[in-house]
Amino acid sequence: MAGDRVAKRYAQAAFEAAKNAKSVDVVGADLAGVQSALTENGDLRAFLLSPNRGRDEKIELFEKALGEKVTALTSNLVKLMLEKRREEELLTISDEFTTLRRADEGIVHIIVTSAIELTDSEKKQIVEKVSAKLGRKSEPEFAVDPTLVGGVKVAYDNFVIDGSVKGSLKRIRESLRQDNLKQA
Amino acid sequence: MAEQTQSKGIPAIVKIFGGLAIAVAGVFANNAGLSIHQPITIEFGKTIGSIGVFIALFPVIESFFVKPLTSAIDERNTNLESTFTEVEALRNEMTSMKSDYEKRIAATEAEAREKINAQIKEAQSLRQSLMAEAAAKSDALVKQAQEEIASEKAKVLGELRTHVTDLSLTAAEKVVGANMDTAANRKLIADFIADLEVKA
Repeated sequence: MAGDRVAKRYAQAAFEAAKNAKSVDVVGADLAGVQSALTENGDLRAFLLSPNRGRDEKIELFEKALGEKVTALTSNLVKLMLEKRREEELLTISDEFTTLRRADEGIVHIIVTSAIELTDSEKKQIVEKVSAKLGRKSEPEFAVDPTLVGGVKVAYDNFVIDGSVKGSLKRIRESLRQDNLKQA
Repeated sequence: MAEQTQSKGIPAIVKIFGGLAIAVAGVFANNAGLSIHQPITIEFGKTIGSIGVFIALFPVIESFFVKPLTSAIDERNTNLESTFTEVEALRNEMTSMKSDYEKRIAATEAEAREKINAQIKEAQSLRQSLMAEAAAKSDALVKQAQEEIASEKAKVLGELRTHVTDLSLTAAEKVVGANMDTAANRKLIADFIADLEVKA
């Protein structure tokens, strides 16, 4: 929780700096790349998160591995976090940055989950329909979950539109339970 | 009593000297041979002398024997009278005490009877109260037990219904899952897109 607050503060500072430099998308992509590298490369993650490694060693490794692939703003941000011993927040700062960017641009993040892979046409229709109804640009994230059995589920902000078979059965189950409670 | 005797009689000294005089006269009469021999012999001198001795001895006897005896008898009588009086007083006191005692016993008995009756009444009242309380508690317990049984029954029935519902829906999910092919899924997705309503 405290880590989230710290990541949020770093992300806020980075976002404001990126916005001033008109490089929000680039910095966002850099941070996503850093997060992806840390998630996918176990050795890199272990090295950077190790308490037995010195700050200089970590900064040197970062510069060697990713220093030339990211912008100076991103590089300085990561180095600052390493200097301040905030390595763990590197794993979540990208998400916080993305949240800030979406809020700033009025973008709604929708998560579309389906039992089978959606076709491009289906994806497009869903995104367009949600964006049109909300009057905001939407940034979709698609996922496949076979446990839904069939149908689609769309989640955005604090709302969920559940058109899945699993959701329908769940609603029926709840309805029957309510009936049972009323009878009791 | 002794004073009365003295006031009525002749003084003792007179009796003594009188008696002695008579005795001396008797001696002289005896010496003079004054007597009668027919039909029986009566010697007047001895007789008068004896009477004189008696008269002279009587006050002495009275002084040394009768008076102390009389005094002792009087004292004894006085003591007896005193004792009788005391006994009478004690008897009266005893009678009074007995009467008081009997009254007190009667009062005590009456009081005890009243107390016993009151206690009996109180005990009966308490018994009735306890019986009523026990009956009320018993009724309450029976009612509570009936309510608990009804509640448990409803709970078990509810759990059973829920369990049956879960089993049915799990089975339905499996059946639907087994019969769900790509075409059916596409149809569901198309229907979802057609009906998609978004809360702004």
